[in-house]
Amino acid sequence: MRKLMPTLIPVLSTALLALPALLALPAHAQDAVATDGNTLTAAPTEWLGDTPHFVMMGTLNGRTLDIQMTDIAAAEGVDEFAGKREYLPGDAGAFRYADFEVALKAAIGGVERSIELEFENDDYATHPLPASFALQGDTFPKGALAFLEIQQEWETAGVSVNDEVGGMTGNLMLSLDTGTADDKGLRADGLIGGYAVAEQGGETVIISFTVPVAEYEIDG
Amino acid sequence: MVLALVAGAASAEPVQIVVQAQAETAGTRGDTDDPAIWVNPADPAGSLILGSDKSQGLFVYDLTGAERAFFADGQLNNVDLRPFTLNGAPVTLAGASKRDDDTLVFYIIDAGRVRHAEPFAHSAIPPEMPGVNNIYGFTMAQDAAGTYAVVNFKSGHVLQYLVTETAGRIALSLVRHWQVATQPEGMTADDRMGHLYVAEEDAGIWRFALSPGAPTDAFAIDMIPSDCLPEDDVEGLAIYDGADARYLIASAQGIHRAAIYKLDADAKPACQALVEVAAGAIDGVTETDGLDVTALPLGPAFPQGALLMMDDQNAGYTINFKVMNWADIAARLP
Repeated sequence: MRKLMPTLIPVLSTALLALPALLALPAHAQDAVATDGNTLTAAPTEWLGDTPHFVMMGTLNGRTLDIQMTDIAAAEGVDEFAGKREYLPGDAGAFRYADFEVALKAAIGGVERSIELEFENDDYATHPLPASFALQGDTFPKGALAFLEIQQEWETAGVSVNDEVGGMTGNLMLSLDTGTADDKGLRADGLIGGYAVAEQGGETVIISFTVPVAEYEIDG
Repeated sequence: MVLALVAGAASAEPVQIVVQAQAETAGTRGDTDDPAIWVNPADPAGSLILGSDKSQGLFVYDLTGAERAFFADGQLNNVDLRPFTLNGAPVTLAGASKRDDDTLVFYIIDAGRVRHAEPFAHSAIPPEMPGVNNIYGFTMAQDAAGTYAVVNFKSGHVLQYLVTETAGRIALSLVRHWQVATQPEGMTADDRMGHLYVAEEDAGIWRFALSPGAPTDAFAIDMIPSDCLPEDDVEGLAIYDGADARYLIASAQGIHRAAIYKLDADAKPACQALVEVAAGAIDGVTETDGLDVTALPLGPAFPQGALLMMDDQNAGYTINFKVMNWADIAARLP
């Protein structure tokens, strides 16, 4: 199982590149990732509400992102859009709500792409909503801090993109987190919604999302 | 906790090898993890690939990658196999770690047909060991004393079971257990040398003596970061047992490659090469997880055996196994 890493791992598979050169690439596959029929002319300045949506605009790892799925139900090419909560063992048999994921699988620009956001905190359940978290580099931070990792994966002819960017700075505003708790207090349904501005290396990406939760996982 | 014996690092930089897959298994939308190759002695080209899926069960493929059978047995994490004797007849025993209920499950492969063993499922956590939890990696092994099922857990425990058979029914008895510091998964046994290799996903590869009576001292093989494991995770492990050369193969997931370590008796294996599977007629390998290798010929397409690697990205968001011709790799090894 792959675990979180606050690092950047660009992969460009060609028969001509040796590994050291490959790992040193600061930016790769300089393509833009844009949905068709975009209407927003600028990135949102706040959360776009509780209708399931995924908007991701800006620049990340040298790649321009202009993904505007303001209504997932109406968006084209969406294969899967699902959230997951992850819990870690806490005190006295309880669990800490330490992580949630937003996963999108969609054909964008004719390419099947997977984009995954993962937000970590020591225990989101201790923060009344709406709650603001400063993004930073430590995993599972206590207090009003969060760790964000963004994964992007796809393959085109001869090129595999497999980015992981973690430890960004900026802010997460968590606005919505609903669901029905089971007898352990764990929730495998509902919605998670929020707005994030994430920065790293002079690049900024802005994200608004509301995602239906499909499962939970107990880790550790 | 085990004693760590750390030897000096190997010096030469690994050779970069780029090959292309010759075949791929049918993709699944599940959580494909680990392959095992069953070599058909009567018809090597008719050999089979067993593939665990962490959300569905066990898939069986032929060497073209076509699905031949599927067992909806639940969350099977790792799979491995060894020759075995059942009711006095030679068969192959395959086992897998099952995450739904922390059990080990077994299959019999007889004349190319796969079926459940009797009994099928065996509890992997002894009641007197409550600290053992979250079953994970699995390998099989053999020495003069018998056949072993070795299983590890996210808690770091490694449990070694002796597998016996009476009147067609298999049984497990715990013969040894120990613990590594962090979460392990990939394991493989070098039966010929009596070595057991265990990978801690974020730490590196250790070697232990396989014999149940041996100490559980850990011998460091390659620790992250290194030339061959610059990033975590290290995942699946396998042994290439060739007549002319023997290798330990490790899945370097963080760089999407297979690391090849030359085996030389009890000496510390040196990393010789990193294998990238690049896109060709078949797409390349990314975020590889489990792997397996055989030095036995698998017909005209794989005359020196084959390397199998899990591939995380395919059309339709599927996961599958890629099959590489070992001759392509051997030709580029130093």
